[in-house]
Amino acid sequence: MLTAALLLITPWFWHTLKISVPIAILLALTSISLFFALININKKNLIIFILLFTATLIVQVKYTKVQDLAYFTEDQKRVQREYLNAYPPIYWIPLAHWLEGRPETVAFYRIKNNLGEALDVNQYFFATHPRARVGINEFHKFHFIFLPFFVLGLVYISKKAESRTIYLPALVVGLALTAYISDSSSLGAIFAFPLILSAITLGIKNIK
Amino acid sequence: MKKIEIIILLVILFLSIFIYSHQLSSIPPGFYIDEAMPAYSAYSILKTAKDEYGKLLPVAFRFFGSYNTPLFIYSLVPAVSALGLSITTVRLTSVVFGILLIPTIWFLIQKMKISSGFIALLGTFIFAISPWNIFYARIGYEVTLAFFLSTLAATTLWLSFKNNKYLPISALLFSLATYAAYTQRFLVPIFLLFFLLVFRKQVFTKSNHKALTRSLIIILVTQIPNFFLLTTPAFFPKSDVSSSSYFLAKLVSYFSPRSLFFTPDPDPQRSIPELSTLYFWLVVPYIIGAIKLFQKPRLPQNKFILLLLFTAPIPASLTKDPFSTHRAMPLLLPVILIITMGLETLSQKIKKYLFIPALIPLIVYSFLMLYRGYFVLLPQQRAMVWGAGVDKLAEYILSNPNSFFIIDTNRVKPPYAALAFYLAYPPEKFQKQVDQTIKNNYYQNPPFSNHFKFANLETRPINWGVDIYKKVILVGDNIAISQTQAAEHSLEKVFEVKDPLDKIVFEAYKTNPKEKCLNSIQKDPLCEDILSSVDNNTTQN
Repeated sequence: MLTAALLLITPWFWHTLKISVPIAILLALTSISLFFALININKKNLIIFILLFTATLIVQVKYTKVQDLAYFTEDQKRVQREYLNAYPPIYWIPLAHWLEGRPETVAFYRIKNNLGEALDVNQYFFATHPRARVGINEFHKFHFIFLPFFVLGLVYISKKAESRTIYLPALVVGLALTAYISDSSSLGAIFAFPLILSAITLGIKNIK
Repeated sequence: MKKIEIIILLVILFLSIFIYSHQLSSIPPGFYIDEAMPAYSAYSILKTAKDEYGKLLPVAFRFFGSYNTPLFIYSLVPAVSALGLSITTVRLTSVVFGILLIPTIWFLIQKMKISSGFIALLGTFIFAISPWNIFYARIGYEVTLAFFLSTLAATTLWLSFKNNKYLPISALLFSLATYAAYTQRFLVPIFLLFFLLVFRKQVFTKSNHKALTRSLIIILVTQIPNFFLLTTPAFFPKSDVSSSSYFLAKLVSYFSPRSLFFTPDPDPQRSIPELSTLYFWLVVPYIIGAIKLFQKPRLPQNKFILLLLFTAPIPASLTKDPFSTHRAMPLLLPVILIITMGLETLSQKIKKYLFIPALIPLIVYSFLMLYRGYFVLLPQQRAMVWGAGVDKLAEYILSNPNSFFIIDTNRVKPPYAALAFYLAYPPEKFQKQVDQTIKNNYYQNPPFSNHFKFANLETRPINWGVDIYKKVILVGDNIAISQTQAAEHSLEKVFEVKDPLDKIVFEAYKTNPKEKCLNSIQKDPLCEDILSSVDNNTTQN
């Protein structure tokens, strides 16, 4: 009931509903299933959550315009040339090429950047204010008043080994995927939706 | 304490001394106005006991449109006296405080029982190589001194739980920190207020009565200069205060992993290209440490860290800047303590033969990123914002003592302090050339004018109606003097300074009043004198 009530006052849910009703329903079901899995871990709850969470991840991939991680625009090429020229000439070790030129390195920097964005607390609770991203439509996801409950929920989950074994892999998989494909879709990084909502629910439920 | 720990700590210190002082005068490139002003003020105090406006031993130094806290400037005086007026001297003073922070952090980690042995040293090492501390320790700003004092104050405050003789020492250090930077001026009262509330049962005891009285007396006496300033504009920083609705978002952004581990400070002058304040992999121990902290918030050391954590970014969050590393510098202390907590937890969960080999590539990566961002990209990408080129301009001015220079100030930050610094212009002469009424009304923030005239130069906007009819050298940035203006006014390009990206920093043009007047169809009245002197010379010849 609490998860359902929270869903109704979550801007991210309404934002998703405007884009796609089935996806909004999927997010609602995933959140509820995760909540049940966290408070009552059993095989059935776990399987339902895994299936729904996998579907959520698939939707996130479908809605994201996945770009080549080593792709450069003309301006980015200019900056890369500047960076390459900045290195002192060291003939025995091609450090400039390794750190600026190799596609693997470029991809690594982008993955790192995407990971940072996915881990940004302000993205979820303050529409990325005060450091909004260029070229991304920032929107309100959760009310900031729920931030303390989210932290409480995380602490609650971290204390329970069983909850941790569900939450942590889901978080790591979601983060890894978002780091790879970025969260530039109109839906945002929806893998985080059930994870945050269930943590908030647990946080509220466990206020002593 | 084992011998090996002392040896490792010494290795960390020696490595830090190398990192913190390597190419100190050239990286960051140039000498930013916020470094030049304290440097010249210290030089002025050393020579005359007055600042450049002629104010005797100020308790707040007048800068351009604002004031600066005095402690760092006074700490520069013996350094300038011993080593001379140079970029290295100014930055080295800051480096000393940055290095002193390293054993302080190590000591605090152990005393708070966050960790001991190898992990305590690892936490200290991570602090020592953190881009945040390295960046500010290597520049001539007041923030590292302020951070050192407030960290030492927090350390002694923690020690006072066991031995109350540390309480007056802590009070003195906190009080001094308020004279070191604006952040501490506002943070110290906030922190102490919350500290007294949270730890009231431990602090307000019978056995602490004497120590508390002494501490209060120390604070009251040492705060007299601040009480004196309290009713003047000199007490407050120049930054605008942000609206309260965004305060919370900004406060949270100081704890967000994205701000701390993934993206640099948005101000290009206060950040390292492509490098955040801490290395990205530290996000793992940070999150683990934070969860540990919240799991047992009632433990005294956790309460103390939480207090440091939540109060540290309050002054910075009240300003308009989104993520200001120099204002939030005290936050580095609780963040390092949390990371160390996380590393301690990880070291207990992961087997030793896996933990240490996993660390090695991460540390190598950290050094590579530090080298890339700080020692390679910063000198190239940030030369312009760091005021590079003023040194070359000063050299040119010195080598042309018979020419008079007009330095355009339309778009650049006031260049007078850096020029006075590079020219080592005698402060007693400088004091005579500034507005003499300022020193009488010193702390009331009399209007700042960018117009300075000293040595063979003047800093002000170019007056196109007058300056081209005088024999001077006009100096400006790449858009101050266009090609069309140069051709129209018969200006001759004599000098230019470029940054490493080949962008023009300064261009200098020699005026040619005679040619200008001869070429003009509509003669300016100023041309009459110029042309008549030309005629006289021709007649005499």
